[in-house]
Amino acid sequence: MLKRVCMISSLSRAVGLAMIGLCWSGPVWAESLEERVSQLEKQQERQSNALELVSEMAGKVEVSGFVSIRGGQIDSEETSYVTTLTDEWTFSEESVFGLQFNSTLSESMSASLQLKASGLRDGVEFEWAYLEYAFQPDLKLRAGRLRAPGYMLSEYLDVGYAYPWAQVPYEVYGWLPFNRYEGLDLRHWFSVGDADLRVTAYAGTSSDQKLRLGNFEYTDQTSRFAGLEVQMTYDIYTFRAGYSRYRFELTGSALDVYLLPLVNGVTIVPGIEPYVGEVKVPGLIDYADDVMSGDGVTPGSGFLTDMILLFSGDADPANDALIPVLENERSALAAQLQPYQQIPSMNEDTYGEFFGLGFSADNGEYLIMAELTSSYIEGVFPDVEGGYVLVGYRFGNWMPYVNVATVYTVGNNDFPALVPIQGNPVIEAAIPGYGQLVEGANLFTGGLIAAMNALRLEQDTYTLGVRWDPAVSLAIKAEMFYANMSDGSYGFALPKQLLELAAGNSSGRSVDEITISSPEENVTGVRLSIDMVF
Amino acid sequence: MLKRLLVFLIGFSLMTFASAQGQVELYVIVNANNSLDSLSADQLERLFLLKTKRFENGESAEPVNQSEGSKARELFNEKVLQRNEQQLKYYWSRKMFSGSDKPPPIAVSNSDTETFVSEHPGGVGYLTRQPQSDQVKVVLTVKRQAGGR
Repeated sequence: MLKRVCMISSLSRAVGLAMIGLCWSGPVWAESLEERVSQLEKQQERQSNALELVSEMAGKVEVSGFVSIRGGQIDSEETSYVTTLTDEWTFSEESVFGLQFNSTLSESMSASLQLKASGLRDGVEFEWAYLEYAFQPDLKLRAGRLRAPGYMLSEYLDVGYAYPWAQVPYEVYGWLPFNRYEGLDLRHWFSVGDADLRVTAYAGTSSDQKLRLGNFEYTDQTSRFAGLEVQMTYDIYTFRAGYSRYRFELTGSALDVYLLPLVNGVTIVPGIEPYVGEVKVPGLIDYADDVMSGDGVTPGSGFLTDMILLFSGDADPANDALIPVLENERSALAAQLQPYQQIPSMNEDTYGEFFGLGFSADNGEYLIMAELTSSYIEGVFPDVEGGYVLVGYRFGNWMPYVNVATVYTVGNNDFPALVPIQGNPVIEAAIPGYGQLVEGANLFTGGLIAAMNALRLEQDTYTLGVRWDPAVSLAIKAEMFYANMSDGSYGFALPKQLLELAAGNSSGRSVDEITISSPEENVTGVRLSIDMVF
Repeated sequence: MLKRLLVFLIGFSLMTFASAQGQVELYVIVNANNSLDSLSADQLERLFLLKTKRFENGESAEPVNQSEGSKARELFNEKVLQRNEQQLKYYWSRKMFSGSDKPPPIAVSNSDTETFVSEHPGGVGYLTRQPQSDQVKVVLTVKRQAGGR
């Protein structure tokens, strides 16, 4: 009889009732009931005709889908892990839900659509929407909205069921441009001896997605790119290598919008009486120049200038010794400000290169997965190398696993080394109030130094978990991780205040109310996930 | 008397065991016009998991599965794919949701499988009995103790 190609297990059926409805009523024909009935009768006559059965699939819509409900918690109060986990248990931030529709249009043409809702708040997005044309069964062209196979799991990152972890290693997948894009790919399958290969060449553009770390969107981007991926399977082994090159146009970056004003101040035009003109909200440079240093000659132009004028004018020769110290402090201050003035804009045209090697072995009992990746983006962005190794062992429906992952920043990015402003202790001791002025300057520098550290990833993570498959199409996973940040990097545990600052949620508070906590040395967390496919 | 009975019993069970050992459980068939005369279990696995889309002779392959839960499919999974439904679901979820491939179509019985293979030049399927059509030919038999590879 009618054989729907919906892959629905009894368990996911219970969960996705609505989806089932879609599935059973999925194929929509414009035809009358009578036609349908007579067709059904005919079908019964030809019941055992397999050809019919297969051709029946043509023109129909197959529906499949996935759900990943993820929850977790970390032990740090001050930070937010990849912006999704905090010290309060949450189930919403990393959860995703997807529906996929496939339709065979003709022998060589098919169409696919994948809808995704994530975080229970973003609304629904089209992750995939493409037409596929098969020149040969082993040579296929796709056009439309696709996902770039940047790294080994890039194409099915959302489908928790398809990988062992509760969440993919962020050391490799934490912040990447590899998302959906509009473009083309050409895939060719072939064999060399007993090894089976798939080569994918792809190119396209992407413009409606922000670059993000977890849920923290840090810049808008438009990119053009091309890449090549080779996958080889042999016996129980899979090897893959991928290279892609991007040209980015970055706009509206969080750094430029929310952090550079800390350096340069910001001029706003309220347009309200009596503030009809421009109003300048000072930044670090204004503060250091106008409050601390001054121009060296004009009374009232700054603290150090005033002190120099005061000591030159008074009759006390004991104070004269301090004058050169104060002069030096003015130039020392100017020198210390230089790196801050060199903070580049993140809004720029730049390019990136991504390279990844992957390996997996699965004999049904042992599972080993490993990846080594390198991402390089010219400019302010950190250039990072990352990798992980997972070893799992299956017995029955259980698979305990261990994962070790690392990410570190390589080479120099264009971000200058920033250190807090230091006052001359002699002046701080001799002149009351100067120490407070220096502290005042460091209220500005705190956010900038934190941002710089946030752009430097140095983290090792150890994960211990178990995947349990109580039924076909359902997996439940629990894992515990220990992340170790080194060299003053925040790793993926970003301070909450910085995220608020960068998200522009700090309005109504003056800069001295925002103190940004220093990096955690380590963070321990737990994650749970329920993953289904249907 | 007792001894003879015992010998008989042992002999009988050995015979039964021996015949069970040689019993053919799955007949893997291709279209009669296919130039292939034999297929290895390894190659079958690669074809049914769509790791490769062509036979060794270069012909493009169109594998057809039997229904999930059927005796034929269970045997095929165990002996040839060496994966259970759970592991296969894991495998196909990667392929399907990355837009790569979907599992082979399903024929609901031995005769449906035969029809499919006889009507598709690249058809390849499996039966739990000898094929009845002369449009298909057996390229591999899987025996109880033969194992997959």
